[in-house]
Amino acid sequence: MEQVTDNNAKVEVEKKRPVLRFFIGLSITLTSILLIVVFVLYALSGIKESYLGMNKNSAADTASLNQKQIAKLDNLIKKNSQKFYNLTPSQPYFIVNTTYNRFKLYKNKKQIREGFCSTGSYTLLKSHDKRQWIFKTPKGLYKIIGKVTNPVWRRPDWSFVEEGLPIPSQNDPIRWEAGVLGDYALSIGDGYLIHGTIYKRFLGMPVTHGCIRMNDEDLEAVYKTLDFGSKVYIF
Amino acid sequence: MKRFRVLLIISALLLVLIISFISTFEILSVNQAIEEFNGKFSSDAEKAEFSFVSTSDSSIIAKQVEYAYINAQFEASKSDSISLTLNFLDSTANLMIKGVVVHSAKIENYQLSRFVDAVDQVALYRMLSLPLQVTGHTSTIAKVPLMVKIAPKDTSEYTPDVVPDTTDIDAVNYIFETSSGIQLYFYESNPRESADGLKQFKFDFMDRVQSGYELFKATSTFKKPEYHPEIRIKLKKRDAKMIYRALPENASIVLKIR
Repeated sequence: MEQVTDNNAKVEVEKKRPVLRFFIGLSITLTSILLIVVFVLYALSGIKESYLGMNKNSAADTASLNQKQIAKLDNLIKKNSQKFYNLTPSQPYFIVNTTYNRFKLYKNKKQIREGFCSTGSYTLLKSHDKRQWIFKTPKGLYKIIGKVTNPVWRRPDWSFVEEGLPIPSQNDPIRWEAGVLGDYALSIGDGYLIHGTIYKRFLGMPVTHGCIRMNDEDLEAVYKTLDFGSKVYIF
Repeated sequence: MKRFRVLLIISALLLVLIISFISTFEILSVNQAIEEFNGKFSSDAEKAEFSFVSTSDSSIIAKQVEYAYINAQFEASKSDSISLTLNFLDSTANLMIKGVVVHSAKIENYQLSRFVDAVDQVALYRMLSLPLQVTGHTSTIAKVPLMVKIAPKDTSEYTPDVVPDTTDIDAVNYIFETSSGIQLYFYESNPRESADGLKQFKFDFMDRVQSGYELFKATSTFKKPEYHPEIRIKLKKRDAKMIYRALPENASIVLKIR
């Protein structure tokens, strides 16, 4: 009776063996693939770097410089450094950071003021007559081309479209709005202004239609420091 | 048991064979990249005021690097667009417009590929004396964060804008491919301080998967894979975001290495 039980157990084991083999084979294959993937993703770059380290190109004195050539190199460095330094204006200039809505004002190549401002909201406004506007502050180098006190805003078409109002004619007096741009405005061209705002709680946020808004004190300082032709760097 | 051992040995041999095969192809591609780089910068630029020399004199090396750096910055300043200078000697990253530094950031950490030590030193100085041009980029944030707004039909539909959400929720990691073949990886430093650690790992992993796929594609057809030397840079999240958003599509990048 005992022998019969042993035989049954052996038969059971024999039956399971191919399944076991299959799983062992599968796990070996999967482990191999995983090792290759890990090698390619993580170890290979290390091997390449080690290889590059072994191939270090030791500098050879192919043509050592004589004193005259060294002096020439020194002069070139000095001359080009000076030329490069001169690119920074000695006149007052203004820097605007559109990502974090900050400004910096410089005079005699030194920062004299910094603070919050508001720049373009990056909104794409689509009207129902298929016109569209992107409200972004342009980046790059600009110059002050106009300065006014007590500016009056002439509302452009998008200002009416945005509020669902009918667009008035170009000469309609409804387009003119006083008191919303603060006490001063400086133009950098293409309709973009540096001006004040009644929405002071939004300073430091991207909420404008492309203009640069500032608070009253900062705007006054900027207006009094920058002149016609002063450079405005926007990034 | 014997069959199991045989299977194990065959698997191990296959594994070694595949790994050796891939490694050989990769090393061949590295060699080719070095040759191409040396060939590309084998002669001085037109109207070059100075011819670089290969030397082991550290003071002359420093002068040549400085000269190349100023030259490249000067070239970049000729363009109207915003450029980036990466000075690995004093760990600063500067955004510039027409030669004026508009933002300066500290490079928190960086890893330079040893490729710069393996190439011909004169070729390297020549490469450094000109700005690199960005030819492509991949990022976890949008370059232009545009929001679309449909105008209301009349005043009854009009709702004033709400205060925009200015919290920095997105992880900031990006890659710039450049004209010289060098790839610049920018990561935010200390991502574990926020929830960005996992996003950074995912970004890096996906890039490695893409490279791995390119490698398999090339080696399976017995072609040399493309090798791109990498420079990995860690910046504060704010600085990384500012730099990415400020630079135009084909921005100029100036490097100061060594």
